[in-house]
Order: sequence, then structure tokens, then C-alpha cells
Amino acid sequence: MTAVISCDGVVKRFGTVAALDGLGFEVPAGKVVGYLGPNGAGKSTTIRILLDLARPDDGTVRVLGHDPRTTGPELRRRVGYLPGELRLDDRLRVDETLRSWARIRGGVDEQHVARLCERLSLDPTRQTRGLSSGNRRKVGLVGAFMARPELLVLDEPTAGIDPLVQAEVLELVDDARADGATVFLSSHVLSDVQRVADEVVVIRAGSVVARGDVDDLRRAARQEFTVWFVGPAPEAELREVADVHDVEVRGVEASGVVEGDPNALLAVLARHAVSHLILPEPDLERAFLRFYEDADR
Amino acid sequence: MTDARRELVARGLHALRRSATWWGVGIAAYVVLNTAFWPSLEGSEALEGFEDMGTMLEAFGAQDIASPSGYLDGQVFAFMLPVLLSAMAIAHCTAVTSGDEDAGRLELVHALPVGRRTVWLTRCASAALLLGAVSAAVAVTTVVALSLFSFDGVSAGRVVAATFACALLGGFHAAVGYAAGGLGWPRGRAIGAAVVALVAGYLVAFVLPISETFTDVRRWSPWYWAIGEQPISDGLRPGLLAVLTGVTLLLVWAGTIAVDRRDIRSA
Repeated sequence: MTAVISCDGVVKRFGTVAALDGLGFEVPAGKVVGYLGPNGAGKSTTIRILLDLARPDDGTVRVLGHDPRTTGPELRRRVGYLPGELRLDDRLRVDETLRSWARIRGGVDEQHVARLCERLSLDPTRQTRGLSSGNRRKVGLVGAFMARPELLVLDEPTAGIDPLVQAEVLELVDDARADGATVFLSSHVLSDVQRVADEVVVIRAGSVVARGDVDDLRRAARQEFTVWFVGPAPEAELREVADVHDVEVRGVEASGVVEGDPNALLAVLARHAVSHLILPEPDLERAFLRFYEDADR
Repeated sequence: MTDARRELVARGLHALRRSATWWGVGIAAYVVLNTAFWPSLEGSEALEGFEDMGTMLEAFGAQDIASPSGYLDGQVFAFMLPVLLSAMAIAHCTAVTSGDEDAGRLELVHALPVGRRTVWLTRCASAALLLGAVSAAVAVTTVVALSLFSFDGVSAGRVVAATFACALLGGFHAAVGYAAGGLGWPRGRAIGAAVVALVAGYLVAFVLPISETFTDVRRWSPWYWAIGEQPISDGLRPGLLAVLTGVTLLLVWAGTIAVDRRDIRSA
């Protein structure tokens, strides 16, 4: 499948600090890819390089098959961008801001813009100066989606937005994917990424530490389990189960951690009378934290 | 001009329009107040007494302050008008370039389908257009004031030309601020660079030449290129104005090239 974004060995230094240190990943066409990492990991620097707002010191970057440095305006015409730190011109109203962006883009479908404002509950007649951070973000979102771009680069799209509209933002991302767009989504809100992304790329200290399918990542996550037996807990059997760790037994109760596939654990449990079992669904946050724990070891 | 360029210029003009209006009103008021004093000062002993100060007056281009032309030179065209127009041009040009970059307002604009050079040049053009508009308003005000306050023998054409020469000097100093911003300096430092150029140019053109040893150094000052020593009394030198225009364009070119070779600062 064609890569819409391709980074290979990208290095970006600020003085002596390497914000990106040999970063490499690809974003396939038509997918929503979550870009995860803690503050300072290099997420925003990556995004700024994709938009040619920052220039890499080394490595190769391709967006829609082109070098952002040399292709410039023609490439950005095909990209919608929401920055993490969104600063609007406070001297304009919302509709003036949107019209200005539309004119610079060479015109957009005004009805589409009106529908976006409606879906995000954004009043276009308001002065930008008095807007809350959430409403400012909505203006940025309308700007990113207004031209129905082939690639959407969204940095923290739901930050500061109320929960109802957050769901609408994720719907917009779904709709864009359905229309064939590719979405590169950086977020701290893992539930958002889990809800909408097909794949994730996890970075730490400027390098990719994990990437793959969201479901695969969740399956690889550690799951803490607690089980109550009708009789004494079969401690020896539990300790011998592959991929089960940190087993603790207190009478009829046993707890531990299972990594990956839980079938071996379930097979052991099936041989005994179980009164109660807690085995929560693994989520992306646990998987995400695991990568950092592993990297710290 | 493409729609995108027209829009970028319009946004720059929109951002600066109120400020330019107040600068225009303030500078025109300064000119009117100073010219309004002329009828009561003309021929007075007090004014002729100033001429005894000799070299001090040279520092303000007012060697011939008792004449209508010399009074205009000393009070308006050889010092205050160049300073005021330069201050406005520096403030405006840096506000919409390095100032907007400092504030993070350029991040989204640079992510739109328009080149960096276009963004910066159109913003520079906005400041230049307003400098031209304010200068035109000041020139018209001054010409009207001349007829109201008995400035006999002063050529309206020379006043208009001197006003635009002062505006060109303002444009040069704005270009210094623009080039500094293009290199990535924040607005405060860019203004500082332009003000250093303004003060240094003035010292070289008007203060150092008071000493006979340094008489010739004035030819290296943009102030001298723009207005000579007494722009109304002596007239302007088109060749030196062309040099100033060339150096100004060179600075704008350098700033534009520089911004294309660096990272855009994030907020």
C-alpha cells in the first residue's frame, strides 16, 4: 500500500538536544494513524517537519510522495493541518478567519464550511478574541477539514473541547477516512486514538519504540486478573502458566498479570471451580505505558 | 496578483490600519503645530538668535532656521519627520513579520498553500503601502499648512519630494527590522537592530560631521542618501535616493531569503 507519510532516519537537533533521533515510520493511504508519545517525545517536531515549518538536520521525509521542503505550496494544498498550539488572529471574527484561509487556499465549498461549523457547534459570527481554547480549536478544525484534503495532520484535535463535540470531532475523522483521506493524529487522549485509529506509532525521545495495528497493540498489553475459586486457589498451576506473572494467592483468591493471549490461563481456570473472575479488556493506555516501562529497563 | 497574495496583503493592511491612522494623525498634527508657529516666529529676534548656535543647529539640519525653508528643515524634515516615519515603519513591518511569528500567528499561515517568501513579502508590502499612504497624507497636510501659514517661496513639489524621501528612509529602517526578523530574531531584537541603524545613521550624517575631521563620513549614512543636509533648502539628490532604494531592496531580499532557510518558530 502506498505510504502517504514516510520518514526515514529523521534527525532534528535544537542545540545539543536531539528532538528526533533517527525517526522512521510510514503512514499508509486511507488509514487513521495515531501518533503517541509523552510531552517532549518529538511529536510536534515531527508534525512541523511534515508541514515544512521546521527542517530536519538529516534523514528523508516524504508527504504524499513529495519532499515538503521543495514542493511547498502545491503539497500543502492537499494537506489540512491543526497545530497543537493554535494561535489565531484576534483582530478577526471567526467567519473572517475562515474566509481568509479559504481565499489563500484558492476557494473552498462554503456550504461544507457552514456544515462543519454546525457540526462542531461553532458560531462563525463571534469575535476570535473572546473565544475559549475549545472554541479556538474548533476554528482550527474547520480550517483543517474545510478543503477536504487528502491528508489531515491533527495535533491534539480534541484538547479543550467538551465531550459531546469531541465525539463529533472523531466522527469527522471517521468521515474523512470514509471519503478516502489519510489522517495522522497526535493525541494525549488515548481513548480517542483507540476509538478512531487503525494503527499507532509510539515514539519516545525522538525514536519510534512501537508501531502497529491498534488491536494487536491492545492484545499485547498486560492484563491484571483476579480470580476467586470455590476451593483453595491452585497456586502451583497458576505459576506454571506461560505468559502469567506476579501471581499472588490469598486463600481462595488469586491475582496476577497475563501478557498477550489469555487462553492458557483460561484453560487452567476451566479445570477448577471458579466463583468469580475479573479480567478487564486491555486498553491502549496500558499498552502505551508498557512500551515506556520496557524502554526504561 | 493572485487571490492568495491579495488576501495576505489585505490581512496585513487590516492588522495595521488603526495603528497607521493614529500615526498619520499624530505626524500630521506635529507638522501643523510646527508650521502654525512660523507666522509669529518669522523675523523675530529670538529665531535669529538661534543662528548664533551654529554647529548645534547643524546637528538638526537647521543652519538656516530664520528662513521659511530652513525652519521647515530644522523643525520637520531634517530630524523629526524621518524619525517619526521610521518609527512607524519599523513598528508596522516588525509587527506583521517577526511579531506575528513570535505570537505563533504565522504557524497556520505557513501551513497553507502559499510560499514562505510570499507570506513575508506580502506582509512587508502591507507595511510599505501604509507607509506610503501616511506619507501622502502628511505631504498633503504640509502643503496645505504652507499656504495657510505664509511659507513664501517654499516649493510644494520640494515638500512632497522631501516627505517621500523621509518615507524612503523609514522604509530602509523597516527593511533592517524585516531582515533581522527574517534571520529569526524576535521582534524586540529586530526593532533594536533597526533603531541602532536609525541612531547610528543620524550620528554619522549630522553629529560626526560637526567635527571637520569627520565631515566626509556623512556620505555613508542612509540619512544623507535620503535627505542630504537640508532637504527643503537644498533639494534632494536622485542618485543617492536610488542608492537608498537599492540598499533597502537588498535588505528585503536578504530577509526573504533568510526566512526561507530556517525553521518557523512555534508559539
